[in-house]
Amino acid sequence: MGEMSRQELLCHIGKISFSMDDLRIFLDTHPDCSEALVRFNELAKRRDEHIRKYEKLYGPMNFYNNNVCDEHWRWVNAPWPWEGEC
Amino acid sequence: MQRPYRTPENHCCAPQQENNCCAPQQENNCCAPQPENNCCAPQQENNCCAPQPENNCCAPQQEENCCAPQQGNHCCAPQQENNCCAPQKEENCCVPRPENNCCAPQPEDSCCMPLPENNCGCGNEEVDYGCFPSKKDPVAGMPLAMAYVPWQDFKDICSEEEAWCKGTIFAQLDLDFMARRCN
Repeated sequence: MGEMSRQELLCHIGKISFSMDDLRIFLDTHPDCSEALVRFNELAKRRDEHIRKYEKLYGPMNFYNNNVCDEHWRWVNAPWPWEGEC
Repeated sequence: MQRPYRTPENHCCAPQQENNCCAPQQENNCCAPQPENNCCAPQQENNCCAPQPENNCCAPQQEENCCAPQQGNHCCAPQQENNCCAPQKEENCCVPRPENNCCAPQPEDSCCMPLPENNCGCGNEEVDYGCFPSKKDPVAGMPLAMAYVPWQDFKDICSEEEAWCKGTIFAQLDLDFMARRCN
C-alpha cells in the first residue's frame, strides 16, 4: 500500500465499509453462503489494515479505542467538522 | 278305483315329488299356482330367480349395467386404476393432477370430469392473459393476496470502487430509476 493522503485513505476505508454493509444485509438472509462469508472476511481484514495505517499517520478514527489518549486527549488534534476537511 | 286326493297346502296330487310339485310338472318345473315373480321356490335372499348373474343383480339390468346399491363412490362400472368414474379422455385434459390423475376441478366424490372444450390454456396460442394473467405468472399456484420476493443468488459482485459508484455491490441490483412503471 503506497502512501495515501489522509483524504484518500478515508475514502478508501469508506468504500470498503460500504461494501461490507451491503454484504452484511445479504448475509442476514443467506447466513450460510460460504462465498459471501469469505468475501466479508477479506474486506474486514483489508479495512482493519487501512484503519491501522490511517491511525498511525493521522490519529484515531474514533474515540472508543484505547489509543485515543495516553498523556493527551488526541481526539482534539483531528480537524473539527466546521474546519471543512470531513 | 281309488280317487286321487288333493293335498290342502299346494293343491297337488299326491304323491309329491322332491320339489314339492305335483306331477305332471310344467316347463319351468314349477307347481301351480306360481308365485308372482314366476320363480320357483326356494327364492334366494335378493328375491331373484336363480341362477344369478355375476354382478349379483336381478334381471332386468339397468342401462348402465348397474345394480343397487351403488358402490361407495357412486360409480357403477368397476373403478379404474386412477379411481375415476368415467374413462378419462386424454385430449380433453390439461395437466393430470398427481393425486389421482384427474383433471381439475375434482368433484367431491373424486370422480373426474372432462374439462370444458378447450378452456385449459394448454398449447392454446389464444390465451387471454388480460383475464388469466396467472397462466404466465412464475408464482402461479401460490396462495393469493400474498407478496412474494424471489431469492437472490450470490453472483455478479462488484469491486469496492464500482460498488461505491453504483450504490450496491450486487450488479443485479443496479437498476435504473425510471420514475414510472417499468413494463
